[in-house]
Amino acid sequence: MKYINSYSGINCQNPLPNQNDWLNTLDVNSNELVLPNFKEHIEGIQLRRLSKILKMSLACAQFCNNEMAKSEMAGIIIGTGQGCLDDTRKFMVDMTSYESPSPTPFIHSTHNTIAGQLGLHMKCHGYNITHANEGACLENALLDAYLQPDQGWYLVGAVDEKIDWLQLLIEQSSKLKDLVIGEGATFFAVSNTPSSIQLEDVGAYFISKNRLAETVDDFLRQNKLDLKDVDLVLHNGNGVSGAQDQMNYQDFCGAYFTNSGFGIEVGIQKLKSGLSRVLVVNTIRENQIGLTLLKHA
Amino acid sequence: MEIFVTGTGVVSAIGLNTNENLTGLLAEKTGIRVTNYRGEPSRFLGTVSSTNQELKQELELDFDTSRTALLGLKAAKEAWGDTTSDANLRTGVISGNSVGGMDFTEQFIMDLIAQSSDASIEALFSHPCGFSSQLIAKELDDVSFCNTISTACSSGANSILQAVQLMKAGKLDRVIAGGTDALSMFTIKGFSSLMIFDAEQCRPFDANRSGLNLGEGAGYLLLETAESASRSGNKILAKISGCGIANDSYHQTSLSPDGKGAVMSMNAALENAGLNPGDIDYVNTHGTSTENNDEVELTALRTVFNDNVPSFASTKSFTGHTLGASGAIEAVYAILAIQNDQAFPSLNITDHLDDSYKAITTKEDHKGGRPIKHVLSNSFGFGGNQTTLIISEA
Amino acid sequence: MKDELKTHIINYLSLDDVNKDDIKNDQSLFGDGLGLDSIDALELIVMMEREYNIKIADPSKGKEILFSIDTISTYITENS
Repeated sequence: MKYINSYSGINCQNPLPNQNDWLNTLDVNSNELVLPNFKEHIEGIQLRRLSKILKMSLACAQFCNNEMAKSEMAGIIIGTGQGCLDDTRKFMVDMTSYESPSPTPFIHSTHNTIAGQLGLHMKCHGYNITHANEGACLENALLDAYLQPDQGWYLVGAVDEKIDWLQLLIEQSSKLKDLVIGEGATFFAVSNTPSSIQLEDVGAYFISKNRLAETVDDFLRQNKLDLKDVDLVLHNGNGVSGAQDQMNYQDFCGAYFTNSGFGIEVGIQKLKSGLSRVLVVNTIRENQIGLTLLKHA
Repeated sequence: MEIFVTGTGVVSAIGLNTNENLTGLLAEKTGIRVTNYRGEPSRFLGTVSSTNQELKQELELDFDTSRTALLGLKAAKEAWGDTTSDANLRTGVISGNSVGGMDFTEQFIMDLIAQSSDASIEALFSHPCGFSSQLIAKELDDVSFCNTISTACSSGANSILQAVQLMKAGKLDRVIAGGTDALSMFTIKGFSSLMIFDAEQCRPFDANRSGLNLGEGAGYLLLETAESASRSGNKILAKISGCGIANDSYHQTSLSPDGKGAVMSMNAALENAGLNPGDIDYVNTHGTSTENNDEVELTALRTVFNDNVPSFASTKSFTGHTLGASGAIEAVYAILAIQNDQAFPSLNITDHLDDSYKAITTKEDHKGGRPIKHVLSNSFGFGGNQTTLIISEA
Repeated sequence: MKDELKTHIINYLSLDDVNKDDIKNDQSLFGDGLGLDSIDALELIVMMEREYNIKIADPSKGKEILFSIDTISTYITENS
C-alpha cells in the first residue's frame, strides 16, 4: 500500500508554501502562475542557470524534502509532457544566430534535466526516471512509484511550462485556438508509511477517451468498487456520467499535459475536508486516459 | 517471473534490420562515415542509409513526419514480426528518445524564421517525445498501454527496464520496448557546443580518444511472459535476467571520477539477476569515446569485477552514439552476441587506455572463446541517469 | 579591459549576485575561487569568441587561459 505523505504545488491558485484552506478561494479567473520568491526555497548559487521549469521543480521538491526530513529519499520520478521548453527555445535561437551556440541551454533542454538536477541538488543516488508520453505522464510516474519496493520514499513530480512561442502557435491553430494554456508543478512524497491520503490505485491507458466510461468501470471493478463508492470525480474536460459529484479542475489551472497533478492536489484537499474517496480523471490527450484513485485513510 | 525476448528490431549505420546489423558486426567494419548533415560542416556521423521518403513508403504512411518516428516504427515493426493479435493479452509499447521529433521541429522553426510558406503548425505535433511511441502503438495490434521514457542516452535501456517492471507486476503480458533517435541540427550543434566531438572517427577505450561521433537509429525488443510466448507461439531468443538503475548525482554532464553511479547500477543489475560478476561473459559498454566516460567506465568495471574484467567493448565504434536509441540497439546486439557466441569488438584502437585492461579489438580476442551466456550492457545518460541491463541465454 | 571582462563574465554566467569588485584579478575563477565549473568554462569560450573574436579550439588549453582575470586579459592582448 502506498500513501501520499506530502505534496506541494505551484499553480494559479495557491502560492508556495501551500496553505491548508486554499480550496476556499478557488478563482476561475486566476490564470497567471503565482511564482514564489525562489530565493526563499533555493540557494542563490544554484539558481543562476535554472529556467522556470527547473526552479519550480526544485522549490516544490525542496518543500516535500523538508516535510520528509530524516527519511531516506529512495528515488525521483518525474512526469513532463513538453519538458524544458524555454531552454529548448533558447538553444534553437542561439544555434540559428551564432556559429558557436552557448552550451547551457542545450544541456538543460532535455526532459530528464528536471530529474537529473533534482538528483544532483538532493544528492540522491537512487532510482531516477522521466516519463514523457504527453497525456498520462503523471499517472505513469505515480504507477512507477506505486510499484517500487517499500523502502524509503519517492519524490514524484509533474511539471510543464509554457512559453510565448507555444501561445502564439496555439492561437494560429484552428483546432486549438480557444484552448487556455496553463503551466504548473505538483510534487508528491510517496511511500508505504501510512498517512491520511492513500494512493489506492493508478492506471494509465492507451485508449480513446470515448471509452472513458468503460475504462473507469473496469478500473474501479478491479478494486472491488463502483462509481457510487467515489464521492467526487475530478476531470479535465471529460466527466463520467453517473458520478455522485464532478468538477473540472482544468478551469482553475489551464491546459497542460501534467495538469492532473493540480487535479490530485484538489482531490487531496477534498479528502482532508471530509470526503472518503476521489477519482482524478485525465483525458488531456484524446487517445490516453489517466486515472488516480485516492482514499481518505 | 521470467521475461523473455521473442523478437528484435534494429536500424542503424550498419544495417536496416537485425540480420544486416549482425553481418556488419561480424565484418568488423564501422558504419561511421564523413557526412554533411543539412549544410553543416563535414563530420564523422553514423547515419542510417534510408531516406525519409523511402521509410515513409516502406511503412505505408500517408503523411510526412519526424525521422525519429520513422526509424522507430521500422525497427518496432521488425521486432513485432508476424505476432498475431490476441485480445486476451495486455500489450504495451514503451519507447525512449532524447529530443522527440526535433529533426522535424527545427525545420519548421527555420522555415518560420525565413518566413517561408512551408511552415505549418501541424509539424509541431511530432515534437513531443511521446509522439513516436504513440505512432508505434497505433500501428501495432491491440495496444492498450503506451509510455515514453526520456532519460537522454539511457532512454532505450530504461524503456526496457520499465517494461520488465510492469510485466513482473502483472500489469502487462507483452511489450515492444526500446528506443529511437534521429540526427538533428539541435543535437549536432548541442554536442558541438560541449566540445566533445572527435574530429576523426571515434575510438572508444583508446588512450588518445578525443570525443564521440553521433549516430542515429532505433532498436526494439518484443518482450513476453512465458504464458504470452506460449500463446503467441513466438520463438524465445533470450531473456532479460536483470536490470539496475542509479543516479550518479555528481554533475549534469560529467561522470564522477570513481564511477559511483555506474558501480551502483551494475551491482544492482547483478543482484537483480541473482548473478555473480564472474558469471558475466561479455560487457557491451556505454563506451562513447569521450575522455570522461571511458576512463570512468573502466574504473567502474574494475570495481564491480574486482579487477577480473570480462571481455568488454563498445559497439558505438560501429554505429556512433545513437543517444536515446543506444541502450536498446545495444540490447539487440547483446542478444546477437548470445545467439552467435560472438563478442563484438571495439574498432579503431591503436593504443589502449590501459594496457592491463584492454577492450577486445577483434572477435578472436574474446577470452578463450568462452560461450556467451550472460551479457551486461551499460547506458549512461546526462543528468546522471545510469542503467545496466543483463541479458542472458534463455 | 579587465573591468569590461568582469562584466562579460557576470553576464554570460548569470552571476547575478556577484559584483565586479568581488572578482579579484589574480583569483582562480574555478574550483575554490569563484566556484565555476566545466560548463562555465565552455560558456567563457563562447564569450571569448563573441566578444573578443578569439577561438579556443581545445577545451583543455582553455583551462590555463581561463584561470583568472589576469590570464584571460593577457591572452586577449596577445591574440588580438
